[in-house]
Amino acid sequence: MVRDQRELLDAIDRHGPDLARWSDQVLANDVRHAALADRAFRARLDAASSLDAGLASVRDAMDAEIAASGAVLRVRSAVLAAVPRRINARRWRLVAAAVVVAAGLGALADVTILSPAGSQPVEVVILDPLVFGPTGTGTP
Amino acid sequence: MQSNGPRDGDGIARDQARLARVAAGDAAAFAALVADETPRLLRFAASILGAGRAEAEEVVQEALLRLWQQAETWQPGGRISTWLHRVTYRLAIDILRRRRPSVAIEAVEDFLEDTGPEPEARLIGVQDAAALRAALESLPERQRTAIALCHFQGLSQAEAAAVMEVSEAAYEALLARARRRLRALLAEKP
Repeated sequence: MVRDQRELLDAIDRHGPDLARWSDQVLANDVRHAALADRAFRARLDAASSLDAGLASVRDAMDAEIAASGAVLRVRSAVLAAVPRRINARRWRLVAAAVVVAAGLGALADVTILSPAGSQPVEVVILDPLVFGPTGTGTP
Repeated sequence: MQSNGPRDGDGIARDQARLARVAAGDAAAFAALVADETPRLLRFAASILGAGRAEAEEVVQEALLRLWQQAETWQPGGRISTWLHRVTYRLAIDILRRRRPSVAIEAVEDFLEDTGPEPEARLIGVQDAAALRAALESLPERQRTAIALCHFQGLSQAEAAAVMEVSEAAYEALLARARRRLRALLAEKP
């Protein structure tokens, strides 16, 4: 497939001047051939590479400025200072959850272990002392 | 919290394990995450908002705190760094809108092809980093962001598209326009 230069220049703008990193190596080869055949095209590719290098130096300069300004430390300190309060809140929520679970387990143990379903229920009868006399005498 | 973004199996699994520790209240794990992400995010915020602005610090701080708050509901679907970039971007855009309510016009500018001088015959004087920086700051916000995500943050096109919440093809076209415009702006300089 023969591509015109406009298409190839657009591809450089889309994918950058580092042809080795292009996913479409057929297209990259077309760009290489065009750069070898046409000096003006080569100049455009070089200008794109030059812009790439310039942007890398801007990035490095920004990193140096950010490091020198102390911004990284300020952000880290501010973020980490805000976090312990949330850790405490989370711990209280965990404690509350543990209490609820413990209560649930206690109730479950009471039903299943201490009062198993198969045991006989205990019936408590309270006798009226006016009818049956004071407790322990056994006389009416 | 759904972390929509490009798939990267190992990285996503590592991020999920990391956020599980953060969600369990592991302050050391969160501190390590903050240490890893803060410098990059500051660079990104500064490239959108302008260098040396306290707003960049506020934006990054807020993005990291949101990560902490939402760690418990993290749904693995993308990388932490992609999610953080997206939140940082949204917060920065909010600030830009408050600063200058004409951002909508800039969105139209993004789609205009540059009509400046053709730069093909000239190598840009990239040694002049100040001129390049000034040209970068004069780009419409979305074009500047496209350049920053690719050239400063080193994100893949898929990740950058996820941050800007556009398709990969749209991001690629935006990046191409930004590069052309940047070269044209530099070519205009004496």
